[in-house]
Amino acid sequence: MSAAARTAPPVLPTEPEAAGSGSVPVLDVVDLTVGFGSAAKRRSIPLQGIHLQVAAGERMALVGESGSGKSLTAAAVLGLLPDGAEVIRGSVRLDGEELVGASERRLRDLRGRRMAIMFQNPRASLNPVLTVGGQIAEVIRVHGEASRKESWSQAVDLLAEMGIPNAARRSKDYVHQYSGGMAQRAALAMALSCRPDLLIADEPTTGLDATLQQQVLELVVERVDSRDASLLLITHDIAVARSHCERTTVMYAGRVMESGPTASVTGDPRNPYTDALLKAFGTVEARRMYAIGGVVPTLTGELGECAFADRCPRAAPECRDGVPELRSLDDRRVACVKA
Amino acid sequence: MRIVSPRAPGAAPAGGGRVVAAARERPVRVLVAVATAAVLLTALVWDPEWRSLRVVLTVLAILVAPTVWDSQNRVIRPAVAVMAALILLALIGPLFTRDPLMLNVGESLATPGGDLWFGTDQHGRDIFARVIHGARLDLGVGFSAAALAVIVGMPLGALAVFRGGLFDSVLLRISESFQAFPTLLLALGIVAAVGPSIPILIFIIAIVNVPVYLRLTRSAVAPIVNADFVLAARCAGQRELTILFRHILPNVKQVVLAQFSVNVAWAIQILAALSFVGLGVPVPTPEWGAMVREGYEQLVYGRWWVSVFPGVAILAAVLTLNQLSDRVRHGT
Amino acid sequence: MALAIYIGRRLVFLVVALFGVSLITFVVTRVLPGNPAYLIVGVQADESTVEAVIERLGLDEPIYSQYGHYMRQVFSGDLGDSWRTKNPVTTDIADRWPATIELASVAAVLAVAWSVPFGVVSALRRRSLSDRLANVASGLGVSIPEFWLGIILILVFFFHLDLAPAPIGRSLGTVPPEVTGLYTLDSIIAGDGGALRSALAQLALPAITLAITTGAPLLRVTRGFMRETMASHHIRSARALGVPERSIVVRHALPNVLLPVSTMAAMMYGYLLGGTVLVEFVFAWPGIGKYAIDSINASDYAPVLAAVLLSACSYIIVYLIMDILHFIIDPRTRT
Repeated sequence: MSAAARTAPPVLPTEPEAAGSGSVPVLDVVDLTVGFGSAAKRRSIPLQGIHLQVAAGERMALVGESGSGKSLTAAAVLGLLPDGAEVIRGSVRLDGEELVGASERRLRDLRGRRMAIMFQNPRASLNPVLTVGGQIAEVIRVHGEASRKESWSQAVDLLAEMGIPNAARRSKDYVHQYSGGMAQRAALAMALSCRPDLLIADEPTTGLDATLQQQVLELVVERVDSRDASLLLITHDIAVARSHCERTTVMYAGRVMESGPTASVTGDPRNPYTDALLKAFGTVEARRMYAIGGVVPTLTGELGECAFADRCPRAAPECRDGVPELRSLDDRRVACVKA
Repeated sequence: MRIVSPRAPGAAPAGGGRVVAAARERPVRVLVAVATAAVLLTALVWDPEWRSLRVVLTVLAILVAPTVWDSQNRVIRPAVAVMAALILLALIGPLFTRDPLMLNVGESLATPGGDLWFGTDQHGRDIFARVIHGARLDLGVGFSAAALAVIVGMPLGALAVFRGGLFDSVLLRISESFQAFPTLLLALGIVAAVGPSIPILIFIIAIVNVPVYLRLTRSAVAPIVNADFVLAARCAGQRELTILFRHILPNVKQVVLAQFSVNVAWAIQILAALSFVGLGVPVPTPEWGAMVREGYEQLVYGRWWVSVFPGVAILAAVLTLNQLSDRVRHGT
Repeated sequence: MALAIYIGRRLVFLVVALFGVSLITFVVTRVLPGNPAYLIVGVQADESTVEAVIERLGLDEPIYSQYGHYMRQVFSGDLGDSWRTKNPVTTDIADRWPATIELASVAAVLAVAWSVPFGVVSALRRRSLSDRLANVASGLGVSIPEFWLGIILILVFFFHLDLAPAPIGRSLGTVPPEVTGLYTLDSIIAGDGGALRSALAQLALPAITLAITTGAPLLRVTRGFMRETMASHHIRSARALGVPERSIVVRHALPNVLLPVSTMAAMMYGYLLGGTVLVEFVFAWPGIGKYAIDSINASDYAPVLAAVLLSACSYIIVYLIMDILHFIIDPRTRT
């Protein structure tokens, strides 16, 4: 660990832009830092000082390239970090309750009931040898008092709500009998079965046909809204964020680069990385293909400088003086000394 | 716009270059190895004194030693080193022991200790000397049989995929039928029909293992034949043979190598088993399975050492080979 | 409907496989060097007997009609005579088959009983004690020569600890009246506790020997499948929705693991039906394997070839049954 990293204090900005009025956010991630390997033999630090707040009923997009740590952030929130990874510091609060260091028992109780997730590749995320309805019913039973029969009829209702035709019959089918779009609807039914306060959707449309993507996304947004739940939508596509989420957090190399209302983040990016990402997606007038030069750095320790400095068109010597802190700027937060 | 080159080490291009270089020299190595093995095996069949087993082992040692030297792989290296040590022991060990065939009635069934580390058998022969000499025979036959099986099975498997159609399905059905036979019982049946001798034992052990390679190569090659990079090579106008050696076989190498190692182990087990039931090598020849059998008759009198030591030798050789195989399969 | 088609296809496969097996045994008997007439009647037969056999088998005819002869013989249940026992081989085999089936079945049950649960548990946590133990057990079990393991067990449990009966087959104690030929079953049917105890005692060491060596690969496979399944996306999903760990293992992971493992177990059992040769030899167990070896050593070949053919056929049939069961159980093929 470099000296610079140690001296870079995780300064927490106050919440100038938190939606709602001083109420506790549903999800409140503060300075979350995750490392692989033990403290003595740290192999890498894939997440460094993540800040992320999702207010009640809000839809937040978490945007970044692959490898930027989006999915790992979701795993850390759920307390399901892969083997060998651990939270080094920071906190994760769900409705004000601290999850870092919480017992496995408590976490298991919260998973599915208060926070739920749906993954990409829906057909692989349902068990091939259990019926679809049975899997949903089990989640309902695990988190409540429902009997076998009640839970099953609830599962059928959920499947019908998600637009599965003939839900009563299809609930007895196995996932190999479902199409990709239907499987994702079933996965959504399962995730929402216990009316969680927060749904994390991890690239829910990757692998689906382009025509289905829009449908499934709209369904997710609609069903989450109807339950007054919050949505954390993980995507690499900033256009998806723009069309479906009120707020957007941009991640790069395991750090938050910029965060704020989607309209202002994508309309007037303050962080050069956000700007580059927008250009790469060709959403700005320039029709020419834009590629961000260089590659995402592999983090073997805590970097003592801005992670984007090497690829940044606006890089300056002061970018290397320390990790740029995530500071409040107008309606958002930006981690860039030049902003 | 200022484009800053990445500071992260450019692992991908460097690694890719190494792979290309390795692929270029591999066909030559494979060809040389196959040719040597074929020559040696022919010699072996014509050599009644099975002196050529020594040649097989020498060549193996020459092939294995540089691999140990080269191997930067911390998982594979120790297993290869142990294997090399075993081969070396089989090669030069016999030079330093007593005569394994020398009868000494006065010293019959001596307990292990003193000069006689493993004791003596009912004819007063030094068990340590016999175990060391047995290594030469067991490892030699094991490697030869497995090599022969690879030489026959691999091209057949590759051919099955290339030809496809009737040829493929007939070959597959035959090898499936072969696998219905318990290996040992089939080997027994053939030995019974043909009669035991070392070249014949090698052939038999090889024959019962050919289907394994055929299916292995077939299943490893089949998904690659239509892979995009093979198609790309074809579009680039490369010859079929070049494609086979340069693009397809290198991808199969790891599985086949792992299987080869397991197969040598099987071959040793089959040889020992055949000898154990009295259908392997002729009687005074020092062979581990035959020695266990001789010791079995002494067990009644509590003389455990006669069969325990050769058994440990089989276990050690087979265990090493299996470990090597596991590590080759998973450890890269 | 799908099931009927499937069974039909497998039956076609069965016929093809049996054809292949018969072809191989035919090649071994008739085409390999050596006079096959001697294989049938034994080396001590006189000139005229040999002549008669050559005549009967049509050994002077072309190969394909010889194969025709051979098939006709096999299908009529004529596997030749053993000159050592002076019986038709079919009679001898009918006498010895139950002993092999009993040994193979008990060994298979023991092998599954130790290896599958061990494989499942050891796969749950990497680098745990059970994981390390499983590593050692499967490594040793795969590598240890069966016949030598049998000898070591005899040395320890018979000579030193005196816990097991002498390794002289299954002739000790009272023999129950024959119903199935399996002494354990027969003694239960007869309600004879003493006979059951002695049958089990004599079965113990040979069955354990086989259970160790055949269970080891099964352990390895189970562990591999379990690890793979536990790392799969659907397990991650179930976990992320708060399904308790016990249900994850038992309800979500196990069915996915047991499907392929049961195929392996069936293959193992099919293999055991012809693969008890060495253990039968070590423990003087009067089954097919020992019969084959005794016959070979007396240059009496008809029984050997019959044993080879029989064990190949039983492997194919066991495998076929398992395959069809699978088709019925697995939801992915059922619909």
